[in-house]
Amino acid sequence: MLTSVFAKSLRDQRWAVLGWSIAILALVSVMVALWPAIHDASADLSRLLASMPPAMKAVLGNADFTTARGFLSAQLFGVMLPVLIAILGISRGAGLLAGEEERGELTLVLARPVQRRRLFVEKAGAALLTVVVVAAVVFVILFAATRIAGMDVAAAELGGGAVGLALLGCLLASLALGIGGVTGSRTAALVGTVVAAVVFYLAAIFGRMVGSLDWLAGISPWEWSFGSNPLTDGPSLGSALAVVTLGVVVLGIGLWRFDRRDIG
Amino acid sequence: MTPAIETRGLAKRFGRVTALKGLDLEVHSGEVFGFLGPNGAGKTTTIRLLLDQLRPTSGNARVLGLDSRADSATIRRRTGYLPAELTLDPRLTAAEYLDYLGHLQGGVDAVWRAELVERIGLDTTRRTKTLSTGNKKKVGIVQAFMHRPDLLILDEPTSGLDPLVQHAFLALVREARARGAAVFLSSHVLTEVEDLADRVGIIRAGELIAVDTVAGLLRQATRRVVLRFAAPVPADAFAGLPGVADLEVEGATVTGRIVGSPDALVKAAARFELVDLAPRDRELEDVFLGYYREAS
Repeated sequence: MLTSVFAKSLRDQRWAVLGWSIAILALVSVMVALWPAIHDASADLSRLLASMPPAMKAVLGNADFTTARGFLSAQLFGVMLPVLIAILGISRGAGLLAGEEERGELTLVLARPVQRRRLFVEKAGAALLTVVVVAAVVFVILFAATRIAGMDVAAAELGGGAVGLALLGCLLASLALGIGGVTGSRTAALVGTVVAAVVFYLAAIFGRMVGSLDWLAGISPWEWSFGSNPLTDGPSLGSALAVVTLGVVVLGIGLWRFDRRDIG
Repeated sequence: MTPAIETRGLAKRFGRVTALKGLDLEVHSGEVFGFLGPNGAGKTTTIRLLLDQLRPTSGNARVLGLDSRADSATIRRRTGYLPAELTLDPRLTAAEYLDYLGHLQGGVDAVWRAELVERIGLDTTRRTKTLSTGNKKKVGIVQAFMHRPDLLILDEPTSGLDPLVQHAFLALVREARARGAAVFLSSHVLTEVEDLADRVGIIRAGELIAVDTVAGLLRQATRRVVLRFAAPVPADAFAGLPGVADLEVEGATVTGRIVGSPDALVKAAARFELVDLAPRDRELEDVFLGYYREAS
């Protein structure tokens, strides 16, 4: 595991991946355990939801508590899991490159016959793969939990949600890597990417809520990743490609600057 | 023979601060070159330019006959670097860290690495974050020497080392020189390079102000003298004497620096009753400090 920058950087993430997996397992367990009670009360909840103003419904992701799919969509994929994967992506993206550069850990690595471009690509690869692994863990845990609880959700629907998580997490990690590649500052990478994530989220929400602003949702990578109903819609191929393209562009800019500037 | 390091007008500006002003330098294989200067003079900037971690504002450098920008990876394959500010990977033990750097480096002989660890007295089982400054430095020394590089770039190498380890380190540097490696030894303290260096370059405020052999620097050493008289002497009796600089007359004491022949000073002093004449030994430290002061 110490034979390349990629393998070593991935090795550094092993405890983080384990910790995140345990946290996700706990979160999913609680939600799935709540399902029977919610299901029993779904008629009342639906009436409550129906009485809400449309804007409120949009924030709740047009929650449909009568089906397991709608329940998981709203409870896990509405805010919780995307926020978790966003934190994971941002912290990996900012930490693996700018964080190590800022602490001076890259000095001895870059004293080796390692090309900077290569270093950037391997660090980015490790950060993105970590996000993908955690998204896959979400899928496995959800698949197992919904089977155990006898919830009616297809594997493909859960898969669509997990792909959405991977897309959003990887995009934010790429953005953090890109800002880190340009500036060398972990703080800039963190702050810049958190601001971007909040903007993406608000654009999706306001786009759904306010009819005249629906174009906002159309340009939000958050919406591209999940659609308005994560488990039923999932990301379309087109919007998935849009997320990937945006990620590749910001990584490319980061790589280009990282290869040319002074290293801290 | 191609110099191990050859810079032409190498300059680096950080915003409005000019860290290095057109450095012209040559270091040859088989020599230890002492690069001396006060902190902030541009020593580390020079080193980081040679390693392609910084990019020059103007000028260029050739290292081991190769272009420092275009062929940097090839240069680094044959270069060992010990930074002054050493940050090790806190997640690994010393052995794991050396494995990792060794894999990235390539061409590390495990037997030689083990010998280095043994000679320098490093406990490789400990996590690097639990190591003291001196022990961290040992990891730094091993990773710089482990691939038997043709060029060693050592930035303040002995600070923080205890005398025994220092001794082992000096032996390693001499062995490297003996097998034909070039050693670029940067320091702000003279004693660190005095014993090792064949030639010394003195840098101040981004400019190389002298390059000479250690013996050559000694020859142009400035000699300080103190003359004490039985009674106060008139200042004008010593004014404008040739061969003397920084002359000060204070009551019965005259101090000065002999820069040429001491003849005039001795003849002027002979007119009064001299009770003591104390020449201070010529020391490299004086030359070194003289250069620092002169330029400031």
